[in-house]
Amino acid sequence: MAEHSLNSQPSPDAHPHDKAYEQLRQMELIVSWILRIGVIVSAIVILFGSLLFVITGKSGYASDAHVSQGVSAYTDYQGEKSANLYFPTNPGQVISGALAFKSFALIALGLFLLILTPIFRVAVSVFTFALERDWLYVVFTVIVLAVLLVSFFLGKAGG
Amino acid sequence: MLFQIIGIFLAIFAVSVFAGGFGALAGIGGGMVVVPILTTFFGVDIHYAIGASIVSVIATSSGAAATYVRENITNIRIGMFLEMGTTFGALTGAFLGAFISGSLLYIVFAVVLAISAYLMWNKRREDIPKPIENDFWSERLHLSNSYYDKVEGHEIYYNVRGAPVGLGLMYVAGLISGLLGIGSGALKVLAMDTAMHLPIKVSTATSNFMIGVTAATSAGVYFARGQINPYLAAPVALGVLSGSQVGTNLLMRLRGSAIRKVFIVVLVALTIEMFLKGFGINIGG
Repeated sequence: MAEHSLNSQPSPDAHPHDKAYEQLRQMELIVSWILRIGVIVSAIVILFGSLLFVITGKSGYASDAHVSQGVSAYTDYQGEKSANLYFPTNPGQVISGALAFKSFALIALGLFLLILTPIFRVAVSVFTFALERDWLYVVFTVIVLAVLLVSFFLGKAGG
Repeated sequence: MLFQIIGIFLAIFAVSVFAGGFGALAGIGGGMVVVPILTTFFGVDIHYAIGASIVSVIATSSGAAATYVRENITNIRIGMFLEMGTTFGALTGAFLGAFISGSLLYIVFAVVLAISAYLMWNKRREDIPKPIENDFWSERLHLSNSYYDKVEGHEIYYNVRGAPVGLGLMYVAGLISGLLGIGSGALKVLAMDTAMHLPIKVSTATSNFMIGVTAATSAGVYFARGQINPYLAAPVALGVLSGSQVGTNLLMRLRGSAIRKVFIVVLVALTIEMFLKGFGINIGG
């Protein structure tokens, strides 16, 4: 008979139906729920921005001025330095653009949230492993989380 | 002109739905299909294709992962252990992205795909892995587990071995993911299937869990570099997300050997495509 604990490891200390087991099972469902919510919210924001773009035909950025060029105004590579003329490239630009209701900024906001979802999921795992008192895996998970956060800073520094 | 711009935006969405369904089914996150399609059929610059692809990879992984976790098929310990390899690899890869020739990488990857297609072909009739003993590392790291197989109708217990080798392979998978903007799901599933002897359904589900985390590592770098273009990333993300929901439900109900066969076809097609790109041949470009 399999005894499933939160992180899918038959734990010698967890017996089905005792309080600790039920708590862990609850957390497992919460983690699953977090992933779901994160993806749905990101998708709604991206969809909203996309609909705004399709309906108004405006990105809110430089491509709008070159519509006569056709689709290449949107698909030509703009390089690293001038990219932010065409769409936001850091959280500050994303938020200010979104507040100004620029369709591409709203899309970028949704994309940003989508990128955050796995990171948040890993952060939650630190807690779930700690609740199981599996310290080896708390360490492993913290290492993964650290690499994830470092990548954002490396990117911001222009990597 | 505006009509054409909007039209292509929607066309990319439609194509991405297909990529998402197929990606979820084969456990490859759809990224490998997105980059070639965008560059060859839509004439998109490869930097933007990679950026859009990494977003689609996260979308597929997160969209499907919730289901796998609920169904208890994902082995989170294996996933988290191997993530240490993939994330370091992805950082290295995204950083090196500016310096290494894409052509050379496509060829290397094509070779890896060809090898994995061959290995999969040898195992195509197996539904359940032959029972093995846990090795030293798997005992130490508590990696063995079980899952309830809906098709087989009972709980399947499995042991694991080759964890250190798996970790090394995951570093390589992460490196390639960071460089090419793909999920490297094929390599991850291959490593878990052949080097660590996991049941194919567990490899696929765990790979899906890991792919999103690896991709998020690269995505942070791409975002700041201006490689994530909303015009491309939005239809790809929404399309792949929609398509992957369908694919995930199919995965629950298929036999292990059916999944392998689909996977082999995918790998062979990708191998050919990668070789061609490596030699600068673009079909339909």
